[in-house]
Amino acid sequence: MKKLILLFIPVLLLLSACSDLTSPKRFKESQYTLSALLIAGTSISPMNPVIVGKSVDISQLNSPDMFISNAVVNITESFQEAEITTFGLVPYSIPVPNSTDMITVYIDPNHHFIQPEHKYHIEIQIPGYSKTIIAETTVPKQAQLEPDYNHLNIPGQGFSLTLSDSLPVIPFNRVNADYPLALKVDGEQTVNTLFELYCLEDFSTDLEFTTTFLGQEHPPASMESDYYASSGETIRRINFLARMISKQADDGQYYILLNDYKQGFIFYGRYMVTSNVIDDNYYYYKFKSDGYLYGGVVNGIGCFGSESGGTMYTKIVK
Amino acid sequence: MNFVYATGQPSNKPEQVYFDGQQYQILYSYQDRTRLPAYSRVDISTKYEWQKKWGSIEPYIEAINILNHKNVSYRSYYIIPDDNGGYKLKSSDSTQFPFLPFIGINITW
Repeated sequence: MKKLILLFIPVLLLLSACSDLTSPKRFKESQYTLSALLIAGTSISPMNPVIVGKSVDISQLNSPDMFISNAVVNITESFQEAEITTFGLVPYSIPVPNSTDMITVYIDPNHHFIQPEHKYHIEIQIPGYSKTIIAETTVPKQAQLEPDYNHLNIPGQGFSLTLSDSLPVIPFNRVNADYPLALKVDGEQTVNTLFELYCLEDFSTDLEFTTTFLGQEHPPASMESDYYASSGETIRRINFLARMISKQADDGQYYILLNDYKQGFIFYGRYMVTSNVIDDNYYYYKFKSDGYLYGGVVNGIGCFGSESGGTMYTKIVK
Repeated sequence: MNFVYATGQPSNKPEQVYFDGQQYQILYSYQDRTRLPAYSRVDISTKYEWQKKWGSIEPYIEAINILNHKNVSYRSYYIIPDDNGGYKLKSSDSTQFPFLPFIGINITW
């Protein structure tokens, strides 16, 4: 009898453990979604809108039901617990990327600029949905791009803050040493950072690797689609996501510094480089598996995040 | 000769999708899982041992997965534009060992 009891206990433990293998979340039903990234120093515009939507069955991939066009969207801005203003967003039509289809998004017609360290609370009411979708984000402290951290001041070399036909260049083997990615921040702090290197050249077999890959100097025709298949992302876009600590430089200022990143420039050519400090909502949305559960959205899924930083451009040459 | 057969591992199944402004996000099922294709692998090996005064020499030849069965270890899903201006769901499989022959030698003393 004792043996039976002793056998029964581990079996019971094994069986009870099995029940934890299933997720508490399931998606048999459509989920209301909120997608927004507030960028310090800009307003909620067609370039950077709030998207209110609904998940649809995977077989209805091109369904217009994916976007909610009659939601009531209000944002309350506050700073240090003091409410500053409440403003409403209005529907606006924009084309879907890579398509001529139009979708409805929400923008701020009065162009309130998103302020660092301010808290933004969003409330969304959707006809037919009894719950109110809510979320809030506190915009990270001001993070300012420093395109020429080493103060080299070499004409025609480095980063440009605007995209033009004649971009400055950076020799590939000088990237890390001469032009680290630097964000000036206020004092010593630990922050979430997201750096992105996006190659502006169209993918083709004419592109040239900065580092020879398995003896190949140019990518095979299938490389873009193969990479997309495994990552869901183009090989021309490389992200670095990390928690970093600002360090004091010789000039007495504090910087977030990424100085070992040249491998992210996979091909020679023009690049858009973004460097941002991001809030926890966006960090967990990007970082975690099933990130849409961790983006700070209540009564829905998605992400209501914010970031502070900026974008630079350069051309990587030999 | 070694033959291994196992039913496929359980895997997530795409159930819902939404657009986050940059790309389509896939929501996966956890309870209504699907199974990956069954796993099967045939390996062969042979060896010969020479006994010496000081020990032994044992050369061997071995081949893994001689039928080159595509044993799927992971299936990922992604969404790409289709030819009609819309989007479609695609999947790709990560597979384990292909047909892999090798030779070696064990020397003991």
